[in-house]
Amino acid sequence: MCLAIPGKVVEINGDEVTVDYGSEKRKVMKVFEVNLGDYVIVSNKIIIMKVPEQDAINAIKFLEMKNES
Amino acid sequence: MKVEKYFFDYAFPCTYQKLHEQRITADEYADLERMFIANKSPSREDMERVYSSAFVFIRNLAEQMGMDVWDQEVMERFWEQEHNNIIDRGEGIYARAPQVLKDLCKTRVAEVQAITNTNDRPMIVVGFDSYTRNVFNYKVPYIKVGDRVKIHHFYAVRKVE
Repeated sequence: MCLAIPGKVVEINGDEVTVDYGSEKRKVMKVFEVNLGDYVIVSNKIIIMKVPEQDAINAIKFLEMKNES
Repeated sequence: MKVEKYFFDYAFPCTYQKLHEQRITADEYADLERMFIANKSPSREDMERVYSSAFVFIRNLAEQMGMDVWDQEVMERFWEQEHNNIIDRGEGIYARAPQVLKDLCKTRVAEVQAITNTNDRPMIVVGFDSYTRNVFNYKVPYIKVGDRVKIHHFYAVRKVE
């Protein structure tokens, strides 16, 4: 089954956005407005949606726990 | 539609996460995406390997139904009913998953609100309940605003008549 991974917007340069996943940063494209510090979900190098901060933090903690177990 | 393609149309939307988790390589992902866009499907063996966690549930379901794992009826029951039920029941990795992630995983019927092709990729905006979502649309290129589509993750899978 599948669980999407949220990342944090740390740099915006036009339509190119850098998203921080903790272990790595990835350059992706935006198709709607995002701000520094937003948490987003990316698919195929395109930002698909924003995720509320607390939901994203909970999701990241959960996914880290899952990967460690 | 062949059962292999039916399964793959629904399963491929999860593949990017498997790449992100490094459970498949970038080359494997690229091969799978090419097949998805070309309306083809990998071998049964490859799909059972890549989507192994889904097949744990599908095998159980097939056993309950007394049918082969690759029977069309089993696959339809899985993607049309059981997949979301598993998420709602919190089985497997969904036991402790946050609601926001579980909601993303569910298959849903959504209404097409806009057609927006982005970065050379066919995309549409769909709405369901009070939410909107940008999704890729490789499977129903003839879709119009107001039509209803089945979506999984960030992909339109088929038109709902």
